[in-house]
Amino acid sequence: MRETLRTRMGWLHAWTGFVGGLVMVCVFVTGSLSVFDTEITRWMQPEVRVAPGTPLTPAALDVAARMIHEGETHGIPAFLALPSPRSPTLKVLHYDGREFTGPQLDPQTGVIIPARQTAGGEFFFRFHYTLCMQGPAGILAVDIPAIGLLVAIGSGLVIHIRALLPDIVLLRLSATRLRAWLDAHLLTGVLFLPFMVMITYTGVLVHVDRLLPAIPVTSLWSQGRPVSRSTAIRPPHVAPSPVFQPLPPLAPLLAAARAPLGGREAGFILFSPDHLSIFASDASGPFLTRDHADFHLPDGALLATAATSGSIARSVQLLHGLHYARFAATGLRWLYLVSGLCATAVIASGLVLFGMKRRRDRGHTVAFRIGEGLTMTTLVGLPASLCALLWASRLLPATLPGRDGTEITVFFTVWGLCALHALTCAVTGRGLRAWRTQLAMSAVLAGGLLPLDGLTAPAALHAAPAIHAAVDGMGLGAASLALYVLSHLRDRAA
Amino acid sequence: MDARRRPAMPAWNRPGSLVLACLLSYGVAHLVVMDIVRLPGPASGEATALGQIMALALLPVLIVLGFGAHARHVGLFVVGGCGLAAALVGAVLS
Repeated sequence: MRETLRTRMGWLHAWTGFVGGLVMVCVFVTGSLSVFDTEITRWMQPEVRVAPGTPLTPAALDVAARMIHEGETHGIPAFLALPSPRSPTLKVLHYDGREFTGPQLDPQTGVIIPARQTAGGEFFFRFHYTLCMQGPAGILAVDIPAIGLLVAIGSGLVIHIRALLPDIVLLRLSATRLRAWLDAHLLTGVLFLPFMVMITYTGVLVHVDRLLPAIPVTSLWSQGRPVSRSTAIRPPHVAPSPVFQPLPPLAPLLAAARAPLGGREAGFILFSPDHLSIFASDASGPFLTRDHADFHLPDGALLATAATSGSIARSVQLLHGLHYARFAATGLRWLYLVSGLCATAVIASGLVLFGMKRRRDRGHTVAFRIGEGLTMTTLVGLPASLCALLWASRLLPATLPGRDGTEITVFFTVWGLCALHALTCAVTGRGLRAWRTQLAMSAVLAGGLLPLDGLTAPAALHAAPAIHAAVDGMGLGAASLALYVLSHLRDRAA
Repeated sequence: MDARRRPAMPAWNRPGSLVLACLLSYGVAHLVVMDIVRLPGPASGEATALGQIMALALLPVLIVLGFGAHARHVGLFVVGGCGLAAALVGAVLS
């Protein structure tokens, strides 16, 4: 075949899209769900029935302050997450090496709410940007395929640049299967192109220090050198343990912080031995700032205000804010979710097309079948295991120690089993059967969320009907989609 | 040269030139970050952020260009030329 720009770009689009797409489907699905991470956590903790808008009282803040001071004296530094319209409880959180965890308090009384431990929506968020891998490897495992996706988008644009506008109105579902899939891929791809570019670019930008550090390449290697023997045997320097000052009443400080923060609501409070810092809420605007007001301890006198200025810093804050979407109202967050799912559909249809185009010539090869198994694991296995995580959050005993870790184990076990099943069936030439089995399982798990919710937490349904209706409705939607695809696969088999 | 008369290129050439395009493009993007950090003017933190914003936008474009313009490896030469220019600018600024 003659090598032209179009064939070369087609090869680049196909391979970077396929290899990067397998990871990016996982990233886009969990990222889209992370837009509602707080709400998903509330679904997974039906014991929390505090009504949104419940006023925060000084008494509750004093209880939280006492807990934090007690934790500090025992060497457990914690911070205080203040109630917001999305999350109405007061949270005393510390980092346990994997995630932020801690008790939730009633914002009115300060009483600890006996909520079950859960991985919560935070898991979706963490999986979205690290695939649950520790250290910089996890971030790079997401960022490098994201660059691959940007390359695939660029090469796709070169291929279709002349037909971008016609592609918006072209959808031939009654044409051949390959043509119909291609039309769907192009239609959603062109419509959601700006969103995909924006969200992928800003997402990589969040951790760009890992990918493009501002240090010479030679320093990168020297950083990874093993520790010299003389350094290794040197006794560690033991710093004197800091003396934590008692905390003043927090309610007056919150009121005093409003003016230095430009009238913005406070989001969380960090504590140091001799001062505390009140940070502006992420929901207060599209600029994701870390502006804060510092107060001296123990007297509570205002020390300083840190507010970022400068056009470059503000631009970075805006780019981060656009990605995190914490400023967005409910309607805009739904738009983010729908756009994210449509972007997922673009990548998913690309993965399917990659297989369809090669099935006739290379369908008998092991490499093709492994590719089909991986596609199945990503497109069907991942949603099934996400649903399994939600099932686990309701079916595991509420008082089980290490409950959140067990939920994550359930997720990875189900996903691993899906991968094993998909790869085994695909390699032995029973790929279609595996698609049908896993789609049926996904439909049962997703559609079963509504009865599961009604049976295990009927009181929570009344306390937060919108949240439960949205999560259960998403489950029904996913189940309907799985059944629709399943019915088409049955027709094909017949 | 007329595209119709251009000789066919072996398919194995593609992964190799993609890897080369990625490595060259990454090098250029990193040099852009380093050059902007060395520019007189903005504070170090701000310059780093600006450099990273620009380099990250440039990286996929360079990869597509380096891989796509395949006739006589023009794309790779262009990306390599950009890298050379960035290295020279860096040498002047440091």
